Amino acid sequence: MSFPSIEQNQHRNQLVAKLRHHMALYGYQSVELPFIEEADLFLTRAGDQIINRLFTFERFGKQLSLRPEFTASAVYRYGNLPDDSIVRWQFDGPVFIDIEGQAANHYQNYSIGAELIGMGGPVLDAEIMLMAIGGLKAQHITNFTLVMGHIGLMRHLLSYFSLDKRTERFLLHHLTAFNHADQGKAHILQKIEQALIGQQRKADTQLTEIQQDSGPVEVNTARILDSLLDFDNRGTTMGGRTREDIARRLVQKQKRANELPQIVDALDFLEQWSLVNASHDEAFPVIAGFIKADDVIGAALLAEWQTTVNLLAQHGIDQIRISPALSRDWDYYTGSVFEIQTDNRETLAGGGRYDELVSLICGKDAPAVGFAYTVDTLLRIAKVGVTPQTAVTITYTDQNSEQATHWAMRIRQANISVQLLPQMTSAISEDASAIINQDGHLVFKNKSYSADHLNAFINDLQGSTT
Amino acid sequence: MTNQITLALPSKGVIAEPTASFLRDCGLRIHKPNARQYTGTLPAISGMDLLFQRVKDVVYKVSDGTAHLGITGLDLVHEYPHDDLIVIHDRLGYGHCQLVVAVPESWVDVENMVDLADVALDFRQYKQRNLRVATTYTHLARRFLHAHDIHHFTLVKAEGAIEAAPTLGYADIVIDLTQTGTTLRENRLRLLPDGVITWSQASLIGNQRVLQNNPEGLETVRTFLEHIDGALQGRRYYQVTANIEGDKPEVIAQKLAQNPITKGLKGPTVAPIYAVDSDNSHWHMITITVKDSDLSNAVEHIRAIGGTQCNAVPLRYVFMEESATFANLLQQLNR
Repeated sequence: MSFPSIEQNQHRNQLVAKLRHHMALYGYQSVELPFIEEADLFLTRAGDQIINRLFTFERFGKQLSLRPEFTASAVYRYGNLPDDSIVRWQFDGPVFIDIEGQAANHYQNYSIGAELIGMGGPVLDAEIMLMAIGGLKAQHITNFTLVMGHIGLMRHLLSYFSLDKRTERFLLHHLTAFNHADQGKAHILQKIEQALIGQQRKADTQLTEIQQDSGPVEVNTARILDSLLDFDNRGTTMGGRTREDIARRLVQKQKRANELPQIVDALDFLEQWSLVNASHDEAFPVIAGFIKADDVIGAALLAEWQTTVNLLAQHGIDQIRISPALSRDWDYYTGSVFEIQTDNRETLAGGGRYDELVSLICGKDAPAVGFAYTVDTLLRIAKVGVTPQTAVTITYTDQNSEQATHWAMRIRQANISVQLLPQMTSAISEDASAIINQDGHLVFKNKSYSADHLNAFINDLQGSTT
Repeated sequence: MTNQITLALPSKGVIAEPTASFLRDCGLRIHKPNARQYTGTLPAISGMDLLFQRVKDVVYKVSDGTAHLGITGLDLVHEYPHDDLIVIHDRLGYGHCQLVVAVPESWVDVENMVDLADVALDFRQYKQRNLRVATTYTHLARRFLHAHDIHHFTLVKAEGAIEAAPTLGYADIVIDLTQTGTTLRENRLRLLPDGVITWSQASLIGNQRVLQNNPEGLETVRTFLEHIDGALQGRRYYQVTANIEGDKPEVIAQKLAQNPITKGLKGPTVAPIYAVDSDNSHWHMITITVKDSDLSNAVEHIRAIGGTQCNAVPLRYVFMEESATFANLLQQLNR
C-alpha cells in the first residue's frame, strides 16, 4: 500500500483549505462527522448491495462500518435537531469504500463537499452549483462544463405510462444502454421480457382465477380480499402490511401482465429523452415538448429547472449542457442533478437534490441538496490564499431572489461570508440582518444601499461588528 | 508437535444427540467421563480427542485450528466461511433441514421471490422504510436476497423464536431453518416455493492448515473416516440369502448375474446345502449384497429363478478398497 508523499499531502491540504474557505463564504459551517457509524445507515441510503464495498466489522452485536461518504451521516445528525431546522454544513476527510478492481491503496479516498438540509427550491439548487463552480474557479480551473439533469422531471414524465414501479425501476436501471450502439431499445425490451414479464407469467395469478369464478365483472378488490384473507384460516399476522397494501399489489400484478404496449411507449420516450444533450436554449424547448399541455406538475418542475439555470447564467456560468438523462443514482436523487466535467469528461464535482433521504433515515420530511468534489481529479488538475470574519444574512422573496443572489455574490468577493434565507422561513428572527427592498436596494439596519454603494455597506457592516 | 487429532462435536441442540447416535452406529461410541465436562474420547480410535461445543462454535473452533475436525450443520459452514475450512463429507445422513424464506400467510399476493422483490420496493415507497428480515443467517440471507434483485432490506438479527418475529412486530418476514415446516405454519408463515436458500444436514468439516501440518495425525483421521465410510456404505446395502434348487452352482450364479441388481458387488456366492435327507440334496444357498433401494426387486427376481426362504439383513459396514472420503481429503490437502 503506497502513501501520498509529503508534497502531495501539502498540496491536498492547501486545496482543501481553499475549498473550505470558499464554502465558508456561502455560510457553510465545517462539521466533523464520525469515521465509524452503524452500517445500516449507509445501506439505507444506497441499498444493501453495497455491503461488500463497505469496510464493516461487528462489535458488541452491532454491525459497524467505516464511512464511505458523508451524506448519510449528515442526514442522521440533522435528525437530532428540532423540526424545521435549516443547516449548511461542509465536510472533508477520508472516506473508505472498496470499489471492485481497485488496488489496495485506493480503499481510502479524500472527500470534500457540502449539504444544505431543511430548505428547497431553485435558488438553493443554484447556490450549491455556484458554490461548486466557484471553488473550481478559485483554483484557476476554468475549462469545464456543468452538465445538468433532472431526476424528478424524468420520473414524473415516466409516470405518464402508468407502469408498474418495478418495471419503471428496471427501465431507469438500464438507461445508460441508450448510450451504447450495440444496446438500446431492443436490447432493453429483450431484458424486460426475460426478467419481468416472463417471470410474472409463470406466477399463478389468484386474481384471475377469482375473476373467472365470479363471472365477467370488474375487479372488486375488497370482495377479492374478503375471500382471500379469510382470517379464520389465515390468521392475523400481517407483517407490517395492510389489506390495502395487498389489494393494491394484486391489482398491479394483473396490470403488469398486460403492460407491454406501455413499456414500448416508455422506451420510445426514454430513447428520445436520452438524445437531448445541448445548451439550455436548445434543450429546454425540446424538453417542454415532452410535457403534456395540462400537466401542471411537469410544467412546474421544468420551470423550477429553468429558474436554476437562469440564475447560473446570470452569474456568468455559460458552460452549461442540459443532459436530462444524466444518470446519477436515480434511486437516490429526487430533483436536479449535476456534474462538473472536464473536456475529457472527467468529473470534478457532482451532486443534486435528494428530498426523500431525511424521511428514510430520520422519519421526518426535509428537503436537501448537496455535492462533493472529486479530490483526486482536482489535485491532478489544480495548480495549487482566511476565514471570513464578518457574516451577513440576506433574506429574499420569490420576487427579488435574483437581486439577492447578485448582492450576495458581490459581497462575497469582498471576502465577507453571506447566507441567503427565504423570507418566510421561520428560522430567520433576529439573525436576519439585511433585506432587499422593492427598488433592489440592500437595506441594513434601516439604511438603504444602492448597487453603487457596496463599499459603503461593507464599511458599515464591518463597523457594526467591531 | 502432538499427533493428536481433535474432533469438535455439538454439545447441545438439535443435532447433538443424533451425532452421538451416528458415531455409535459407526462403531465409535463416545466416552465422556463427566457429563459437565467439554472433553471426551472415542475409545475405538487412539489418538483422537473430543471437544464439545455449541453447534455454531464447532465451526469457529475448526476455523481457527483449535480442532482439526468437526461435525456441524452444513448451513453453518456456508454461513461462516473461512479460508482454512474445508468440507470433508457433506452428507452424514441426519440433521436434514432447509434454510427458507417465509412470509406471513396473509400476503396472498406474494407467491414467489419476484413478488417479494416488489413488496420490498413497496415498503420503501409507501412506508418509507426497508423490509425487515429476521434471521440468524445474515450472510446467506443477504446473498440470496441480492441474487433475487432485492437490495433494500434491513436484517434483524435474532437468535431464538425467529418464527414469531412478524407476529411480535419486529420483522416483516423471516429466513429460518425448517425441517417439516410445522413451526412456520403454526406461526402463520408460508414458505415461498423458490425461497429455499440451501439444503443442510450434518457434515464433517476440517481445518486444512492444521491437518497439513500434522501428517502423522492423518493416519488417525484415516481410521476415523474408514469407520464413517464403512457405516454410511453399509446403510445402503442388505445381505440377502436364499435357497435355490439346482444341480450346478454355475447355472444358479448365471441366473442371478443376469439381473444387475442381484449380481452382487463382485458376484453371487453359491454354496451347496448339505441336506439331511436326500430330497433336498440339490439345493444351494445364495448370498448376495443388494442395495436397499433394490431389495424388493431383488427378492422378486430370486423368486422368479426358483429361490425361496429369502432372508435380508441390513449390513453394518461395507469397507471398499479404500475410504473414498479419505482419498478425497488427501486431494484437498494436495497430498
